[in-house]
Amino acid sequence: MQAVYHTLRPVYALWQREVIRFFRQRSRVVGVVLTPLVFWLILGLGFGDSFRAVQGQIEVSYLEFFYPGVIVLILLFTSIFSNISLIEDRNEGFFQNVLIAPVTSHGIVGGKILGGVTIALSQSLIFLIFAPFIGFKLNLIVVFLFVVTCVVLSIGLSSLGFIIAWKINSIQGFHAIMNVVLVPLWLLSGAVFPAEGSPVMIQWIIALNPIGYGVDLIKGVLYSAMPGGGIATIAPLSVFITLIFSILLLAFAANVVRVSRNG
Amino acid sequence: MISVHNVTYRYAESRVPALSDVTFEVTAGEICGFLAPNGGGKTTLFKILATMLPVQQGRLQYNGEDYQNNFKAIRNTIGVVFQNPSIDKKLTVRENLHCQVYIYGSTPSRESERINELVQLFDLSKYLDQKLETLSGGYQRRVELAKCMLHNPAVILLDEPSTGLDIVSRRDLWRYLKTIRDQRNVTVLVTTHIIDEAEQCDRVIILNEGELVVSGAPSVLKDEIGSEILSLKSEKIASVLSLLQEKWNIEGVQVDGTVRVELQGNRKFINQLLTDHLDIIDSATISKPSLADVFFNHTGNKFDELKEQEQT
Repeated sequence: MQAVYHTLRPVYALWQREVIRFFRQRSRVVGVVLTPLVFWLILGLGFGDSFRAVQGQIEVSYLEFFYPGVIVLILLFTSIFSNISLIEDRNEGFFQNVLIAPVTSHGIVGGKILGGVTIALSQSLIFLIFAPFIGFKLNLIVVFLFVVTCVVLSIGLSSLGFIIAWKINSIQGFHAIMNVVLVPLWLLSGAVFPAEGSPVMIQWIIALNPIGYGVDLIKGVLYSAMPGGGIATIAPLSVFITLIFSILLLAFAANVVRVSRNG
Repeated sequence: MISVHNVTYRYAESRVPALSDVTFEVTAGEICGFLAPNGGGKTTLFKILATMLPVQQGRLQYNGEDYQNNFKAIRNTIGVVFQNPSIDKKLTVRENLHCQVYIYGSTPSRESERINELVQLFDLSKYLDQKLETLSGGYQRRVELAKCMLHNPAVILLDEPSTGLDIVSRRDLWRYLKTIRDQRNVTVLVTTHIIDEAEQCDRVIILNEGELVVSGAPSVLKDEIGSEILSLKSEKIASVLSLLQEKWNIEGVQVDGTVRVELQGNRKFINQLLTDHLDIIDSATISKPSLADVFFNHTGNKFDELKEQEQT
């Protein structure tokens, strides 16, 4: 019981700090909502009728096809960027003090990541408002499954951001990793174009990319309330891989902190 | 209270140890300063004392508890103020203190009582709901001090706490440190490169190139040198040095463009020197010895405080 309390109190403190900070930075709030919205509208409307993908037996517009990918983009960017402050914070900021506090490394990582997850989830829920306008049907079960999926996926993405921020010593380096690794991972996840019809090598990359299973899971959840949908739209393999991806990265993040702070 | 025995630390990328065989003890309720130029080893020592670096060789004990085996107990015992602020400037004073309370696990019933007590001690009542980014550097330092005292530590460690503070804020900081020491018997360990600051400590430990040079009360260390120091500025240093040696059998030492003489009570020759040899002496200054002189006396190097401040 005592151990749980010791783990939970820094989680609460760091989570609360993260959320307060986020909502006090207006430009950040506006940026994370507007950027994916603009991205989605420009690409979705731009491709218009020139792009048709098949979802199940039905042809869908690019606006609809791209929608789950934008949700993952929101989760990716928000989760990853919520950790960027760590780069400076742990050497010459707020985190210096946290790292020498008598708390567990799990507590430190848990609080920071839960903060990132909360922000990412609130962004994706705001974006969910647009789903009915492009034909998705929402009900309580879909929203619940959507929340669970976003939480699990953003735990993984936020842990990934945490690990990168911990290992990198400059913000410029972090941006380089974002551009060279993370953005291509998203582009090659089936979020922007379907795997079917791509060169075999691209199909393999998409099949090996864990973020692709996250995109697939969100698609499955959104289509579960559509006619002919149901729970069968959610692929068990996507559930399994997304869970494993998040658990492994969370454990790895906790270990990175434990090793670097002598306990 | 704190004992450091033969502690040596070497960074992976360096051949030379950052700390070499350092041994000292600090008693409870003492303000102990670590004075060193850049690269002297004070930051490494601070990091080891704050449990940020492991003890590679030697032994470190807090209250008889071994450092290596008891991180958690030691982290509960110490409060740390870093050179760069560890407060969140987007949060208010109250939010920063609340956050610290949760991180250090004070019971919620004690939380408000403790915050109020420290807010009063550091005169922060008026600013409780103000964001840190709107407060001056001096007030931010006070919040840091309040924050590090929240869990009632027996020892507080401060890494160059005066950096970036004006003279008034610096004086305030020291007033608070002495209050904490006097009212709560807290042991204060402070690293500094500022001579004035080191002179306010009960005891100062001087480090140079990772080695402990000398340790003691500032007044005792200064008394060991003698009562006064004569500094002679001259364009012809060699002539002044040989003149002192030949005429009065006094050994002077060249420090940059100055000849430095420890007077040891002998002032008689000064009048004659200035009367007969003003042609080679630009200026003469007599001063009480400072810790910079103690540093020079033990290392043979000038402690260039101004240069240190610029670098910092």
